[in-house]
Parts: sequence; C-alpha cells; structure tokens
Amino acid sequence: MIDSIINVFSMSLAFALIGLNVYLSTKVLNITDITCDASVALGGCSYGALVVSGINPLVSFLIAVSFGVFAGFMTASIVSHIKVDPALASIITLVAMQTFITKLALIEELQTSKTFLTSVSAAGTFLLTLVVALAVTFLFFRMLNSEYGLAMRVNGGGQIISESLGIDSANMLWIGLGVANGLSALAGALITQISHSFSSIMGDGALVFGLAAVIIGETIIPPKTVRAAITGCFAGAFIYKTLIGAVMFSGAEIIGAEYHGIIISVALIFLMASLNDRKRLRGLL
Amino acid sequence: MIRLEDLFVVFNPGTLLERVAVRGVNFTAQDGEVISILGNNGSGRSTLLRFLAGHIKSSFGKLWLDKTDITSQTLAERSAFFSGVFYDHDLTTAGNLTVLENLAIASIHHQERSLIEPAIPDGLREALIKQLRDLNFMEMEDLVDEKAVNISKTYRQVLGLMIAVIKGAQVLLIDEHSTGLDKESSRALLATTEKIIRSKKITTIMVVSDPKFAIEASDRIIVLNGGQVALNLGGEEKKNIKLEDLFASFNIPPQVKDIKLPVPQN
Repeated sequence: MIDSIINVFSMSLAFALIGLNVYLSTKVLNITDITCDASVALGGCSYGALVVSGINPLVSFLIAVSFGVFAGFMTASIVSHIKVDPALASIITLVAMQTFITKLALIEELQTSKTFLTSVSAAGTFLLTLVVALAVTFLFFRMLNSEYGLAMRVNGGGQIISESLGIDSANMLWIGLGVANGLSALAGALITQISHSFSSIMGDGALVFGLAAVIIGETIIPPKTVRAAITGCFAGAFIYKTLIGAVMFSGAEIIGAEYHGIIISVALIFLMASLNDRKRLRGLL
Repeated sequence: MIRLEDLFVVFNPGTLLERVAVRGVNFTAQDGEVISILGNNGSGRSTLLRFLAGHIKSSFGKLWLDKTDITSQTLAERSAFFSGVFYDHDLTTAGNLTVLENLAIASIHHQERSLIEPAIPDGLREALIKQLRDLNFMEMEDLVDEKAVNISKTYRQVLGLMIAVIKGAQVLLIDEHSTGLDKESSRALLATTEKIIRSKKITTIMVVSDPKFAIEASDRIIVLNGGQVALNLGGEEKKNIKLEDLFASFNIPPQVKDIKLPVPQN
C-alpha cells in the first residue's frame, strides 16, 4: 500500500516531465507535436531493454534520452525540409517509431533474473526520480530564460516576427522538438523504472496526460512567467495523477473498475469548476 | 541610401486573379530622409512597404541599399538593417514575451545565441529601462514586466519603434501604425515616432493615415495611384504643396501611361 502511494508520487514527477514537453511544444513553440507518445514509449522501452540486457542503468538513461531527441529531430526535419504541417510530421514519426518500440518491447520477456529494474525499492526510485526531475527542470528553466530560449519563445509568435529579429525558425524547431522529446523519453525511462515493466503501448495517451497537466496547472497557477508555467506543470501532473490514483484505490471495490473513467472525469469537472470560481492562488508566485 | 528601380509586384501571376499591385515604382531615399507615401486604399502603399520589409517578393525590379543589390534577400537577411512597425503589431513585436524581453532579444538580433547565458544579464535591465525612461512616453517604463499581448496597442507600437532603435536599424518602415487608435493616443504615438526618427536619423519610409502629419513630419512625399508614382515631391516643392492639390492628386491617373510588365526575371 505504502509503496503504491510512493509510486503515485514518482509517477506524477515523471508525468510532469511530459507536461514540460507539451508546454514547450504547444505553448512556447506554438505547434501541435504528437511525437510525445512515441518518445515516451521509445524512451521507456529502450531503457528497459538495455537494463534487462545488462547495460549500466546510467548509460541506458542517456541512450533512452538520445532516442527521444532523435525522434524530435525526425519530426523537425520533416517539418523544415519537406514543409509538412507539424501535426502530420509527428504522426509520421509516431508511425515510424512504432516499429522500433515493438521490437524493443519484445525484450521484456527475456527478463528473468533480478536486474536494476526490479531490485530498487519504491522509495529509492522516488528519490532517483526526484533528483532527475529537479535537475532536468532546472536546466529546462535555465534554457527558457537564456538568449536561445527567448528566441524560441519569439518563434512561437510566428515566422515574420522571428525572422525580423534574425531568428532562424528551423533551428528553433530542431532544438525545441529535440529537447521536448528528450524530456518525454526521460519520462518514459523513469516510468519503466517506477513500474518495473515496459510495453509497446506504454506511451499511448501520454500527450493527453501532458496536456491535462499543463491545463490544470495553468488553472491553478496563472502562467505569467516561465517559472509559474513550469511549477504549474508539476502541480497539474501531481493533481491529475493523484486523482487517478485515489479513484483506483478507493473506487475499485465500491463501484467496479469499468466506471473509473467516468468518476475521474466527474471529479476533474468539480475540481476545475471550484478552481475557476475561487480566487486563484495569485500571490503564490 | 535606398533606391528602388522599376518595382513590379504582381499577385497570382498567370491566373485569372492576376493583379498588378505595384507598377514600375522608382524612388530614392537618402540617408536620414523621411518619406511619406500617400494614396487611396488599394493604391499599392502597403504592398510597397511589405515588399521593402521582405514579407513578399517582387516580380520585377531591383532594390538597392547603398551599392548592394538586396532584392533577393530574405526577410531574415534584410531585417539585419531594416525594421518595421506595422498595423498588425504581431509582425513586429512578440506578444508572448514581456516588454523587457522584447527589447532584450532586439539587442542580440542576428547574433549567435547562448543556451546557457541568461537573456537579461545584470545591467541590461537597467540599461533598457533607462532607454524607455529617456523616451518619456506615458510612463512606459512601468510596463516592462508586462507581456506584450497585455499592453495597449499604443504602447505596443512604441515598443516596435524601440525595437528598431535598439536593433540600430538603418531603415525604418512604418505602415499605418497609428490606425485604429483614438485621437489622443494616435497623436502621442505620431509625435514619439517623429521624435525617434529625427533624433536617431533613421531613414524612414512611412504610410500614415493622417496626411497632415505626413506632410509636416517628412522630407519627401510620394503619392501612389494604381500602383504607380503619381507625385514625388521633395524640398521646396513639398513645402509649397496645398492640401487640396495633394488630395486631388490621389484621384488623377498618373502622368505615365499604363506601364506594361516587363518579361519577368527567371
């Protein structure tokens, strides 16, 4: 029981990173990027496959992240070179990556002996997730406030304004999508570590979750500054994940598993209604 | 000095919707000269400005900056020395950045950007605020931390002007930037515009909705009609022009007969 609760915390940290991906692509770069689903699964499956095969976990983390970055680059190159709409470009990447994800996911069956994946306790995993998430978020924050990050944010305002300030739009897209999907892959790797398992469908719905985290976060903390937006992502992911976790725990015996969806959505509606009505937590940040 | 030679801009060439918006325009703007472009709606003023800024391409003709042919330069290349303030303020200022961040990004335009260095290092903030204070425009320095989408259009257009100043633009292009503002704000904006272009000696080509201001503030007046230059008055001629004559020229067909589009390049 206590492990499950700790896992909910760890999961919400990991999902907050997906929230940061969605924030970067939809709010900063102002494009629709669905690559997220693929990079979560890619990161999770490649990390799991590597650890199961006996590779050093730290190296596996780095390789998983680089796969995510690669997926982002692929979408960016389709957009900038073939001039495809970002939404379609990311669907193309999503489909292409599915091949690798399916292949990698097969390796899970090989997992027989105890590996790093299964030997770390829930508390240990939480600590690991916390350290990784905080470090990455700090770097993300620094990047968005750097000269480059500012240029990235200008780019979200359209091509004419960004070019008139001498900003290379394509370059911004490459770095932006690379970082965003690297974050998602990292989140995927963490999810694999937390849940001790990985599958080809682990990324499905990640984008929806990330979007939910961003939107709930925005409702609680108005995203006036980058710091507020990032904090909002974490708060949103935590609330959403906790809500799901709470329903799963308490509702399973009372009403049956098939009604979870409707209960979560009703709870979310009440939550958002109460947040929107009340005076927002303005002075907080 | 910028020089425009036989400029033609044709929209949808070779189709039923073909429209020649600018038809053989020639003029020269000396360094520091302020030129007002007047004319009726549809006379090609905005098309001309959008071509100069690099938003649209010409079908024929050349644009020279001093001795360089910059006709084929893209918006990104051209904006290293051109800056614009347009009716659509989203084209010239970034709405999702604060006022200060807009100015900061303008100060490092066309440069290599660092992924680590903070965009607003110590000292830059104060320096930029001081510039705004020196401008002395309706306490704009109090708004530095507001996002540009949240400030009123008047401030936003002044922000566009300040971006041009901080970029150190050689040429400023203004297209109807005061249109849609109330009288008071419009007057304040135009006065500040004049103050900036005169004090910084920026070569300016502007389209403004107020012809009186256009005559008083500029060194040269160019009247466009049907995409052609109907009048080009500078110096003494400009000083002696009567407002009625000027308005009349809006509707007189240009002296030059209908110019045919030359064989397009490439």
